[in-house]
This record gives sequence, structure tokens and C-alpha cells, in this order.
Amino acid sequence: MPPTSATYDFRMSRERVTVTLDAETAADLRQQAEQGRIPSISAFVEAAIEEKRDRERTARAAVHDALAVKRARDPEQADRDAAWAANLIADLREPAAS
Amino acid sequence: MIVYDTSALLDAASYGPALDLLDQTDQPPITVLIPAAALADAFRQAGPGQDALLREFPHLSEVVLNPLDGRTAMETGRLAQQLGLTDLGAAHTAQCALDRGWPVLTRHAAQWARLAPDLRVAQIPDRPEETT
Repeated sequence: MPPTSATYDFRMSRERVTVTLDAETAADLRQQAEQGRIPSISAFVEAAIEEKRDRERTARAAVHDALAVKRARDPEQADRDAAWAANLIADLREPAAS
Repeated sequence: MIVYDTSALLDAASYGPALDLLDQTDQPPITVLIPAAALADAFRQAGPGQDALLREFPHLSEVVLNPLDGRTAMETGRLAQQLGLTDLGAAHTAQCALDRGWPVLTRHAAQWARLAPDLRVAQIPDRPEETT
């Protein structure tokens, strides 16, 4: 029988992973789940991960916005800086020289 | 794998080349290590515009913020004593770089060469208005 929840996302495949928490945190989360304050420990962990990923996306957007401002101010300097960064990254990826 | 010192953090926060490096490290990923004491020193020196970007850097997925915990504090203090450093941001940077064998990204390569000759450094290029 198909799920009846209107919010169920049929496209999302799910995978079981094992997460290790300190005992105090695990007990606290278990209690919160039993008291109905969180849907489940899994749901809480997933929401925390999503929150962290959202924060990362915000930070990435801030960097992109700053680079767009820089490019608008001085496109040639922006090109020089981007090329310098690409060269340095290529150097960093090479095995350490003897 | 590179360590940002205070000058690199301030350069990135003022839209310098170190910001381009942060932007490009996610494709494919290169780890950027930010020593907590260097970040603290960058916040101390930052203007209002720089402050906003500095707050974002630790949240980037390729960035690792190295905390000044008990062990690191001890090693950083000992290294500062050994190198004659009073700047704890610089000492924490040197400790992180020497511990991992990673180069330091900096605007002051000559100073690092004098302070810690064993350290590998990458010099951020000067901007045109800064050259004399």
C-alpha cells in the first residue's frame, strides 16, 4: 500500500547509516522523541545536517557575491586573481617536490 | 591543503586574490585550514566590510577551523617561545602548518621566511595600487 502522507517525497531514496553520539546526547534525543518534541532521532539529525548545509550554501553565496562585485569593479584584476588562484591550486595538487 | 594566516584572511575579506582561492578550492576540493587565533586576529584588525565576509569563511565546506584547544594551546605557546613570537595568531598558524606539513598562504612571505625558515609559504601577489 502506498504511503498516504501528502509530504512523502517519492523521488528521495533513503539509506540507513550508523551515527555515533555521546551517551548524554543520545539519551536526551531519545527522551525528546518519546515526549514528542522531535519526530525521531533520525529526523533531528537529518534536520541538523540540512541546517549545516544551508549555512554552507549561504557562505558560498557570500563568496560568489563578493567576487561578482570585484569583477564589476575591475574585470582585468579579477581575471588576474582568478588565474593566480588556479595556478596555485595546480601547484598544491602536485606531489611535493623533492 | 593550505593554511591561511591573518594577512590571507584579511586579503580574502577585502576581495583580494585569497578570496579567489577560497572560491576555487571546492572543484575538486582542497582543504583550507584556518587557525582560530589567526581568525581572531583578523577580526581584531577587520573593518566593517571585512567583518561580514570573515564570518562566512568558517562555514565553507572546504574550510577547517582549527580550534585553540588544550593541546594546540600548549604547542602554540611553546612554538611562540621558540620562535620569539608575541603574535599568537602567527604562532597558531605556524603550529598548524608545521604539524600538517602544509604551506602558509600569506601577504608577508619574507617575514615568515625570517621567522620560521622551515615553513613553506605561498605569497599572495600585491595589488597594483600597493606596488611602489
